[in-house]
Amino acid sequence: MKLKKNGFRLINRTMPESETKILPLEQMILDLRKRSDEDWGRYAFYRDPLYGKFNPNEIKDYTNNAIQCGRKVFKDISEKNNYEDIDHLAKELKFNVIQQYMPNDGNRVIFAQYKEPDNITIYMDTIAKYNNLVKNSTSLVEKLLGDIDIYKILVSHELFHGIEFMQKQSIYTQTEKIELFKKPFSNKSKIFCLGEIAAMEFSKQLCGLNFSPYILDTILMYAYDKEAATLLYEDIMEL
Amino acid sequence: MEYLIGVLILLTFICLAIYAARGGNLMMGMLIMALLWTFLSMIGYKFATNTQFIEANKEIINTTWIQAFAKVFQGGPEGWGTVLVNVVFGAWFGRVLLQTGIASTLIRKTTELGGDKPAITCVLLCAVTTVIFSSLFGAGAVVAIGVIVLPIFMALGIPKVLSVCSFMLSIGAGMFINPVLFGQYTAFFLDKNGKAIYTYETYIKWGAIALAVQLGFTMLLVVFSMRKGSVHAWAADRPVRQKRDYAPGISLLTPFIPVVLLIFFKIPIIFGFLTAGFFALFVCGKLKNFREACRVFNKDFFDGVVDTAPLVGFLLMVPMFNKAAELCIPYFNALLGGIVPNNTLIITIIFIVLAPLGLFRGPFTLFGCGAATLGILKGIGFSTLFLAPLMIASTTIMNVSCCITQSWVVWGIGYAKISTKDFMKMSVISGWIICAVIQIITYVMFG
Repeated sequence: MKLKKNGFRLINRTMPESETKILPLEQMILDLRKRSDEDWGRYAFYRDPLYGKFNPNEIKDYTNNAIQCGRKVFKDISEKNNYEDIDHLAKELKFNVIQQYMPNDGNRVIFAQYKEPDNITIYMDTIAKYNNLVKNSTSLVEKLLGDIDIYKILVSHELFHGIEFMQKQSIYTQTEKIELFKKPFSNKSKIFCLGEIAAMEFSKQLCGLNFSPYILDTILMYAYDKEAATLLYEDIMEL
Repeated sequence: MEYLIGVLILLTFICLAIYAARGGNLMMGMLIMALLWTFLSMIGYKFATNTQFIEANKEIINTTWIQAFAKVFQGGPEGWGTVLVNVVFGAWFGRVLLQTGIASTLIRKTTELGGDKPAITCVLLCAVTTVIFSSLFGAGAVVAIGVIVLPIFMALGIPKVLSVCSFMLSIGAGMFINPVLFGQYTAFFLDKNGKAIYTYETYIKWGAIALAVQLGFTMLLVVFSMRKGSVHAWAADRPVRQKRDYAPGISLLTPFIPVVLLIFFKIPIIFGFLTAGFFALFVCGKLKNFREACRVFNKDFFDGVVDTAPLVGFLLMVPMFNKAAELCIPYFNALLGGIVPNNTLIITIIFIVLAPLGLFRGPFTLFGCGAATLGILKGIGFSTLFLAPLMIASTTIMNVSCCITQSWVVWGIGYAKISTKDFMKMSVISGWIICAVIQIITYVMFG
């Protein structure tokens, strides 16, 4: 059942979780690859703590601006640095990349994290699970996605957040604000998901992908919990 | 003879402490302890030879086996049964708050109030969490709220350990005035007829102060810890099957209704739950017709009872254990009467210094082997007015808010993917400080 509020769809499932039919990963990848940048923008906003504050047109505009921001940062970095070796690039930009081997599970799967000012942690368990998924199955996952470097995608995404922190006075994702309530009680807030959208675009450009890295949310979740991945896929497709 | 029995009783107490700390089933643990203490004390009475001991405990020594069984295994759970219904109605009310979307709306509206200022938004969310859990109870409710609050904390850049710790402490703060949790505590303070002797009216002033202390500390913890910088994670969450639309503004008053009615108008808590629950269902449009009202009422009640079912089993064993502890009082007096100080100041200091004994179901938590500690202290002659807040503080802070043997704490640690060591480092120190402040207040008020 879908409800409408502020002109866009909201999810209201009543079906018990046990009735979820697990879908093949290949089918999900094929569908998710077809999602446009605007679709992924809606997904990012859907997960934003300030979600209720935006209408569909605003979401569309903010998404486009954030994507442009991600591309601009990539252009600046790629002009000055060699970005083939992501560890080298991180070192050049003075970031510490830590590989952590903490196990994940299906309720919340953490892929990577950035801690201000210069620490990036990559959860290697996620990468190992992805490798097993590709290696052990007779599926077409690798063919559908190409020979992607998950580690590079994750590091580059978090690198963007580091760059964002360094340029917080001037970068779009940090300076763009929304007014939460009007004067005389004015409270302006930045929009959290703009950084995520821009970081995904930066990672997409840097890794030469022809799909949004957001697709990894479903694929990596699938490596842990097929049912949760299917639910996530359904959420994304319904937005 | 009384010393031998006393030593055996203490040995079983130590065994229970070890069993509880190792994560043993507490429902079974309490039942076995009730059996052991009943049999040990009754055997001791039948073979007592010390005339001084017999003279001092004439009445209890003449207890027959049947009277002992009736007192422990029948009177205990029966007496607490009247309180149990509060737990059931509270669980129904909790379900109403979740199903109507009131709890999630409160959280989202609060987030929209604070915006991108992590410390302010987190502090506001801690306050809202405390409000919600002043009437909501149970692991199911914590998970339902946690899957909304924790991702917001993390999206704000709040470090994971701080997110989980502040969330759990906020829940614990609300629990200080939660009538459902209080109902469970009353199982430990019953008179000879099994009636509660420690009432909510007696408790609430201290409970509200304890809430303020714990919530205040949690807010300070957030403000000071946030100076270390934000953390951003790329993560995927299992989707939550719930509405994303908002409950009506007026419905947001619902969590306050039962407690306000009880405190200011002396309206009994079950009527308060019913009033608030049906108010929420009505303003949220869930009572469109009689048939729909019946279906919603039925379903929420069913879900609520299922939420509390595992706890009810344990809590029905606790009064048995308490009653068995009463049978053991003469032995505690004989063995420990001269050792354990009969002074409220010294006991308060012991509870402050050794506060971590409230962790791992230890001797300072009523949801562990603290029931026996309570029995010993009662036997020595401390008043319920002093003992109740002393034990409740230790239990609510160290066990309910900070301990990794608490089901919802374990869930939070697993959800945020933090190590138990990191969580304990922050939670135990925080809990210890809060415990110290509240125990000092307890001494000043009742010592």
